[in-house]
Amino acid sequence: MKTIIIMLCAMASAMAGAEATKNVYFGDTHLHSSYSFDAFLNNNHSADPDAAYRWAKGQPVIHPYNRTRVQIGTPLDFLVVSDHAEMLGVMKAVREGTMIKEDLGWIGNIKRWYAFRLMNEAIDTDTGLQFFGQFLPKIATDKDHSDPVQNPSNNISRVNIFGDMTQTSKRAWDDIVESAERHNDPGTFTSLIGWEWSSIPMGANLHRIVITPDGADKSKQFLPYGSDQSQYPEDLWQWLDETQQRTGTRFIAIPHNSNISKGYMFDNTTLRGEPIDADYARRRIKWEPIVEVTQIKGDSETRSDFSPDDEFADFENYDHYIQQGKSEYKGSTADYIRPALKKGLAIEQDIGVNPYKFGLIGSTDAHSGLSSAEEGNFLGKMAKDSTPETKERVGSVSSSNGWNMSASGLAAVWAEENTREAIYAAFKRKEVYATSGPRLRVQMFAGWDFPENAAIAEDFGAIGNQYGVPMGGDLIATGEDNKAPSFLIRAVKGPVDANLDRVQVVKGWVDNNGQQQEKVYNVAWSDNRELSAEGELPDVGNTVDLRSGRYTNTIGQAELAVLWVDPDFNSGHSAFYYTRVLQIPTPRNGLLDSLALELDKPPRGPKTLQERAYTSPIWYQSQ
Amino acid sequence: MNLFSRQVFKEPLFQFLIIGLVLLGGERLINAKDYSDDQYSIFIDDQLLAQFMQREAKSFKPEDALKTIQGLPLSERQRLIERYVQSEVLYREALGLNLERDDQIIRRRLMQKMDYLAQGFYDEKAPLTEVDLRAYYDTNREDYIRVATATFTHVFVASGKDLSWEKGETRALKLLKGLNAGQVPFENSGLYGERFLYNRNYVNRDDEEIASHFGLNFKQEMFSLVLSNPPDSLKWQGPLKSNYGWHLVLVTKKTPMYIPEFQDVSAAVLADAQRQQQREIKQLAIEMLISKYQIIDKTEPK
Repeated sequence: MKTIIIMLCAMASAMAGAEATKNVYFGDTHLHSSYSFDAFLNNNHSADPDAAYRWAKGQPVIHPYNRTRVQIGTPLDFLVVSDHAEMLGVMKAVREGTMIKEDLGWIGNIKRWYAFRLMNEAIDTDTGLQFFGQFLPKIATDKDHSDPVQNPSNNISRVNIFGDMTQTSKRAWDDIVESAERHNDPGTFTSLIGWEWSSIPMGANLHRIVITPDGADKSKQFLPYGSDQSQYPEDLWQWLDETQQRTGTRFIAIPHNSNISKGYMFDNTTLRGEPIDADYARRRIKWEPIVEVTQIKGDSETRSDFSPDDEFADFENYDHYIQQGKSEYKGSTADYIRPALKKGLAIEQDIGVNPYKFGLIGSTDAHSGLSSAEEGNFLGKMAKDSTPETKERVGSVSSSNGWNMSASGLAAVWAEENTREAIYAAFKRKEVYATSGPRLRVQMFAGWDFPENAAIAEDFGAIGNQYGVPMGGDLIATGEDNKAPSFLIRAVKGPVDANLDRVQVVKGWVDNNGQQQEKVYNVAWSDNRELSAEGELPDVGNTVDLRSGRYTNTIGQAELAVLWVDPDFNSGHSAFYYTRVLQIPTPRNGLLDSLALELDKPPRGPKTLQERAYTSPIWYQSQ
Repeated sequence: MNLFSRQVFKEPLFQFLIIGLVLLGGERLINAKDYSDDQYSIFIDDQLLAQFMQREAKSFKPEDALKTIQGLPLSERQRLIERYVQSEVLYREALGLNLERDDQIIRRRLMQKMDYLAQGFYDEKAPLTEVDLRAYYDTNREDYIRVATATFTHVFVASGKDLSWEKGETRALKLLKGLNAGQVPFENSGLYGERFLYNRNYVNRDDEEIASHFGLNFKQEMFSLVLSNPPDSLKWQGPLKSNYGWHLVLVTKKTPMYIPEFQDVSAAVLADAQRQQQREIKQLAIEMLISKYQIIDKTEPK
């Protein structure tokens, strides 16, 4: 028998007093304002960071495109305005005639003047989207999956026509930082300072949001690092490291839209095609402890192509690359988080470090300045696709249009208080989860000896923390070979949202033959349904009236709680476990718009969907 | 004649005319390019053609467009030129006929451009003072209303599913007696009843959140309950009905809707006042433009 017994329980009980008081806070870490070049070129000329914060706090604001008064249904607890670092504030400045220009010489100045003129014309003639298209990478012709940054057609020098934009961008950055400072209200509403590093070599989306819990005093000492400086994530981490040493600013980076990364986000190698070594893995997981799994441009959990036994895979698939022209979508295991979590375990077996040991959040990536993830109150990806009649954008640069967009998602955080420090700490320890929009409240703990009645106990959170570890944590082997870990899970519907269908646990591991495996377990469900011998559950049903776009909470349950033991546990296999909670079916935003337009069905996308939550995994570490 | 011409040269008006002519001619000579583009000539070069082509294709790639133009076979180039000429001629003839005058789309577009220009005056204005802000606050107090909040705890009896509403109510009434008889304090409410799906204790929570957790009826009834302020009075009340069952409630604080003091909302006031100032300055700019005009009003109100 193995002898290593970790004193987890003792440590946890000492902490239980503090742990029990954690609350869940909902927010968005990924929102663009009129300072982002693409947001501005797509009709967001007015929703600046101030408007973004006012919306998030629940105040009515003017919509940047349709000019109506709009208001969020349930206010957010925290928000990051994360504009693109590249050309930050430049479009706005050009438009307003406040660009600080560098002398580019006679010809250069004329070229720039011409570019400005074209840009202004594009905005005047409402063809900003086409203008935006020319800054996107061209279709990849890369067959051998080599380093996309070095591909000869990966040319992003076109923006050089604007000259040095540092001064204009610095002013925009200062505006963004000051707005965040004005709106930060510890205990009530948290604004975190951040930006987006938008590396997209050959149309492979490698974007990262960068967030700091620190304030203006530190943030004003640097200008956000953009992909115009380097398209390699290693260089971003290097910059974060150096900037942290120079200014004392703390950072984390959050990869997102791995679903359109063309197989590069969670690859077996680095972007340069080199094998992942322990040093790379350590740096990666140090800077990137969480990943955004769901947002307006689709869901990145998994696809039926590589999770064929998961009947709920293919949720909000988004098969459209960001590039000039169209090319066929081809999902890879390096594009989705479930295969990535498995890959991480396999890499760890080889090199001793898991580069993909990340937690999960959702966010919107809205470019309208309005963080809208509420299905019935969804205001589009860009400012322009906010109304039913403008969802179908003519001459779109990508093959997608407003009908593809998903009203998703939210970042949920278990923290002691609503402050920058507490929320940042939760991100770091991965005690966070993702929802596709609803305020699902989900707790998950793993341990060896929970009390029998823990699932119905009043002090659920305190028991969870006392006898186990929360989401994002590590479960260490007990040394008793036959003992399986149990999972204490509770899910509660959002107060104004739909009932719950079921709670599932997703497990991934590497078997004795080195094969990566996964299994989805139904662990709690509504309406006293019978589980089949194969572990399958009948459908919960569907109450959506397709003519009115309304549903009722006559099926499903408001709360599901369970103490579940892994029936297939093998103490020799390291594994991860995360919880997936499904709501009953509700109308998708496209259905509501199609009803308003009196169409037979939405031109794209399903009529109804089962909104969901994904918790950060808990990792079981074998000896 | 000689004398006349000499006199003419001395004439200030003539001198003025000559100077004017020279200036005008010189300007024409310098800006000859612009003047070749006069009423009945159409000037075309590759740059213009490239621009035209991009607008036709709704695709904007300046260098590529210029390259494409220069590589076009003559016949295609000719067709492009013809299309450009046609569009330019139609445009100019339309302007000649003043067709833009009553066109709502053109009017709106031009107004929009002017409107945008007018916004630019904002930065030149002096910053707002505290006096301005207080004045703004006084006239717009109602924008800063704080919604009603309450502090309470509750003991929950789930009903309507496993337990009927009637049986649940009976059980709740029995519990209520015990809670009041035992003078069970706020912090011990967790020892009674069942786990509610949201919170046990609600501290300074706003009425909308309370309504979303319990339903509108519960919220209204809860706000009409009397306060319990131990040790003098400790009163459990109810049962109140929610969507999920019956609740016995101990309320310790109710704050009705109120308007906060200026210093508590000064940041929000500043932001709002600045936006208002921006609107006003823009309006002022527009009014200055209007003041250049004499309005001849011949309407006949009855």
